[in-house]
Amino acid sequence: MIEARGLVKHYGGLPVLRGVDLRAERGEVVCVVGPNGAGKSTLLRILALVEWPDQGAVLYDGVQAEQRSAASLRARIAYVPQRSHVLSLSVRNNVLFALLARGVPLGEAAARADEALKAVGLYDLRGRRASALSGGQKQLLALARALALQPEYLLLDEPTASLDPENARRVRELLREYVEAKRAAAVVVSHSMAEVRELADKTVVLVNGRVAATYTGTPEEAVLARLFA
Amino acid sequence: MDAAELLLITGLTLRVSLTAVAFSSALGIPLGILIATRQRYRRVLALVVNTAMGTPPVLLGLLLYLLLSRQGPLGSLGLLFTPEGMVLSQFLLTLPITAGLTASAVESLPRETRELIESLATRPAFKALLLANEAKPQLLAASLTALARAVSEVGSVIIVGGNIRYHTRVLTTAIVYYTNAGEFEAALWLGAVLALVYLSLNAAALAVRAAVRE
Repeated sequence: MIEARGLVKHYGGLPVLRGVDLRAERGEVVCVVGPNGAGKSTLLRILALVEWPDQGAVLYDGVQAEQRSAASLRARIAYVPQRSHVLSLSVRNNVLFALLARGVPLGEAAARADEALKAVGLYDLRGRRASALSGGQKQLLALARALALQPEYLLLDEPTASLDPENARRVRELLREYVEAKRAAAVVVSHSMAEVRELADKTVVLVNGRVAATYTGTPEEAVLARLFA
Repeated sequence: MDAAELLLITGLTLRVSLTAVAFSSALGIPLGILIATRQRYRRVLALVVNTAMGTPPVLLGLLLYLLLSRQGPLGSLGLLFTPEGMVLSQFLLTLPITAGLTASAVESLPRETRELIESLATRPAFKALLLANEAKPQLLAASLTALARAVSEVGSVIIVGGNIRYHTRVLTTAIVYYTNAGEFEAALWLGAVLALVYLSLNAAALAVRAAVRE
């Protein structure tokens, strides 16, 4: 379970998060939606333990994350930032080195890298420099890398923003399958209602650094629930 | 000074400088990455390294002379007035350069890249390796800057090496010698060779940098 308790974060004195609470259970996808500047990406970076809150705490399966011991927790997390960044390596080595960096033995890492690249349709481009890929292909590569790590917790910032509808659908299916098969907990920042509809078990609406609403099910179900409440 | 002596001087200049910079890069690059990625004492370490970058070579030469002289604490090593002693002096002179420039290269990587590597690599060695890979062109520039400093440096090598003919005389100390002796033509020829050496090193570095980017 991923849990955020009362997260507060300031940049240059300006509040970005003002006491955010969030909870994603195992086998559950929580989508975070909201307007630009609402603090969604900051929230995800704090959950990924690459940034630290001014106040509040992040807990993984009830254990509070601390800066000193963050590395052991990070080993169970896969984080895909907003701009799907690739390393200055070949497509295959982007996945392979990520696995080796997590201590996966070479033989197993190679097999997992190839499997992940096949799953997202990039296997034929495995020898190409990752920096030469298109924006959408880089996003697929970042997702392949994240899934190959076989994390217990997935943190994805707009994972299908640069993808065509067909690839976006395929990625959402992959994510859904992964979360269910591995009983992983996932937090997905999204601007796409289609994505929220297909992925979300629970949706958190973030506005101006605060949780404005939380609802379960699809957006349509939430509207209906409110109508008949 | 004949052509054979000129070749000997040029060869020793390259040998001493390249060896020193190889060592200072091997140690300075990991040190710079450590400084850039440390949470604690990062500013203090950066201050120390940046201050050391501006160490006057003659001061370093003097300190090494006192340490390596027969009565000094490291006198038993017999490094004074030897090429190895000159390597040591240039290593110490260029170490803050490779470490300092590496630290700023890593710090200037895009935040997303650093965060990605931070989130991926749970092993410090791999984290350093991935950061170094992302900053390859800048690290090459750091080593080149260190090499330029080493090749053109005169203050410490003249004190530690002693400018002994056929033994520890390098291009810069030879220029000093021939200028003091009033043999300006020889000094100018040596200066031209020094410029050519520097030009060749720059051209080689440019070629390597282009290959790295491809």
